[in-house]
Amino acid sequence: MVNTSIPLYDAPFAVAILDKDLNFTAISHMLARTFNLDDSARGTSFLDLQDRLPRELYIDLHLAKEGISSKSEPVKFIHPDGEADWYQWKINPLQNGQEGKGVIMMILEKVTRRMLAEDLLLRAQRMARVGSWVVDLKKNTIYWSEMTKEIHEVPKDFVPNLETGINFYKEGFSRDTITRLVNEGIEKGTPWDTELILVTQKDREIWVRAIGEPEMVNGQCVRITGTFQDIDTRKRAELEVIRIKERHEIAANAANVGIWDFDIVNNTLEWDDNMYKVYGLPKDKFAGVYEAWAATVHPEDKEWTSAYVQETIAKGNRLEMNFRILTQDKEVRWIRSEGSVVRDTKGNPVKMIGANWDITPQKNAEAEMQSLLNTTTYQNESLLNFAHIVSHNMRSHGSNLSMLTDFLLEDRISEEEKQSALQMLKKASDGLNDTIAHLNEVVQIKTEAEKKMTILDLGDIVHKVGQSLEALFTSNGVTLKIDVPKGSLVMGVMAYVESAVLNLMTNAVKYKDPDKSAQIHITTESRSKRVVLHIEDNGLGIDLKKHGEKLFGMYKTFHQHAESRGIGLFITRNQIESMGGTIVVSSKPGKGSIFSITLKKPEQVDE
Amino acid sequence: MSKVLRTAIVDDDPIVVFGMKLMLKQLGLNLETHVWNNGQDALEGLMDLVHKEEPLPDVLFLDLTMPVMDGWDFLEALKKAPMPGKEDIKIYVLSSSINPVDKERALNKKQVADFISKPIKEERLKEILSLVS
Repeated sequence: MVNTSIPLYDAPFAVAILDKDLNFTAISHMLARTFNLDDSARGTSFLDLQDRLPRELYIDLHLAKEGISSKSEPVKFIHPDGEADWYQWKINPLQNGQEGKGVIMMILEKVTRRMLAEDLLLRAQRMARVGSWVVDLKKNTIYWSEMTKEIHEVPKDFVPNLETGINFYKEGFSRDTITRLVNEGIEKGTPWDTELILVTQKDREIWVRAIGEPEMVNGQCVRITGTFQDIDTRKRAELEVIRIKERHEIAANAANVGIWDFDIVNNTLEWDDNMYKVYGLPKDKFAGVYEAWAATVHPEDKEWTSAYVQETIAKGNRLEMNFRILTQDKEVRWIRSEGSVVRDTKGNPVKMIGANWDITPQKNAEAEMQSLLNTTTYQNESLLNFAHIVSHNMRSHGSNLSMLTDFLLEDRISEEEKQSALQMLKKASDGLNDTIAHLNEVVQIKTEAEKKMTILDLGDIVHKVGQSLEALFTSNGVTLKIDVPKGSLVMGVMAYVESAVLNLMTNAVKYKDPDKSAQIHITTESRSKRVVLHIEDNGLGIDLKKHGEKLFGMYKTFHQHAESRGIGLFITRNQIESMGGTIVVSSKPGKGSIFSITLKKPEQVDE
Repeated sequence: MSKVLRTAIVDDDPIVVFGMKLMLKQLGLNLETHVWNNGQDALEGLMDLVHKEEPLPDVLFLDLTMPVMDGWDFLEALKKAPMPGKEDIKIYVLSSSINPVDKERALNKKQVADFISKPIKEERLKEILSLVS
């Protein structure tokens, strides 16, 4: 019934009075606005709006003319452009004479917005698989929504009770938990929100989120309302993630792999516990920023690692590098780093996540293997070279002897030539003897060195050799300066070290620059496990580009040439190497040469 | 008078030089022989001949292992030297080496006519000279 004490126009809802021909006799402002009608709407027929409203409405209006009231559910009307609107109406036939000539009162609401919202909610609930339930403790009834039933996989007409509801939870932890929570809810009004396992009617185990909110009246629980959400997919994914993470953690702990997480935008770098172990750094010494990591990197690797990281952030996806760090105790460690760049939807770098582990043992093993390989390769090459040299030198004497004897056996040469040939023969056989003696010396060096290794004082040896050559230095105008402290101890064979020093000093005299006053300067340099002896001269120098390779080789035949470096340096090198040492030269023509011999320190003086 | 055959011996071993000279003399040919003790001397000697506008040797016997400049470096230096007519010199490597690597390396050089292991036999010497006479 319309309250006629207030004008219809001001009614707070969409209402109209229509005459028998469905012309408006009165209209509320709200209805007029809904259909863009003149507020008076007089003379306008409601039939004019037929193409904008559901057919069912007009049917009900016709029924009203017959005296039949009607009330509709929301009815959907689809406009020609595809848009949809919902309408809900209530139509009452009126007594004649009320509201002018009107015979029908129609309340017509456009409920599109509400319907859309409800629809959305339903869709959302469906998508989120959220169902609801209510337990009325006073009436002892229980209500499950459609979705709740769907989650339990029970038919739509299933009638639950509190006990059957609880029994759907998996026996054990889940059922015990929900029983306790429901009891606490009833007794104390405590709400719950938990994740448990249900066993559906079809005997399928699923994870649900169960939320319950008791309503208390005078300290007594009258009702519990709650929701159910099927979170099985999410929960299983979550559990899988946890399982994988745990597995990774176990693996990471076992392999001492550190995990890092670099927030590029905010420059925060998080390390897990293993990272601190890998870097040998206490937690309070790490500032948690990129620069703090960069500071740990070995000086020689700083530049390229930083450039590589920046480049990866800018353009790449994967980070893979091996680099060195210096721990707090100045220990060098090799680190393997692998990581990935995480980018936002626009492709901007946001994060970098990765792992680090210590590969020092592998690197050391690799280096040792390489060194062993180098030594073996070098020894093989050196042996092969030696074999060729031996064959060459022996053959050169052999071929001379053969050629000369051929001449002597022939009658075609003159007496004078015969005498020359005989002299040559003597020379060739002497040469052969020398060669054999030299070869013997080399072979002995290669086989006997270890037997005679003792602790030697380089200071003593250098001074002793220097004194023995005093006359040579004086006659050649050479100044010798020795800066080798006594007590520079090395492991070596006395005769070899003496011979090497003697050979290098006499070479310095032999190859002095006639235009300069010749100087020889001898110094030592102590390294961690070795001592380096430098013998420096200001002589002619050597073009190392041209002769470098051959300098220490036995490329020269044993012919006696005044200017030849010949066998000397070859023997020196063999002697030094047989003692586990090395000899290198740096030189510039016209400037002079520095020969550097490195020998092992005795073990007890290791630094 | 037959054509003058010009030979050159590049070797630091006086015994080899002595033997080669003797052998060449025994062939009784009209010969002119240069002797250089190493690659450097040989290169300078050859350049000297060019400057004096004297003929270059027809045959050059080259040792490999010599001080100052060895046979290999001599071949490289000769390749680069501005020396008209150098392509006509028949170069025979004469070495005590029986290392196949040396032989292969020598034979791979366009300038080298052949690799001969010391000592060279008179027959081989005759054969070589007959090719240029």
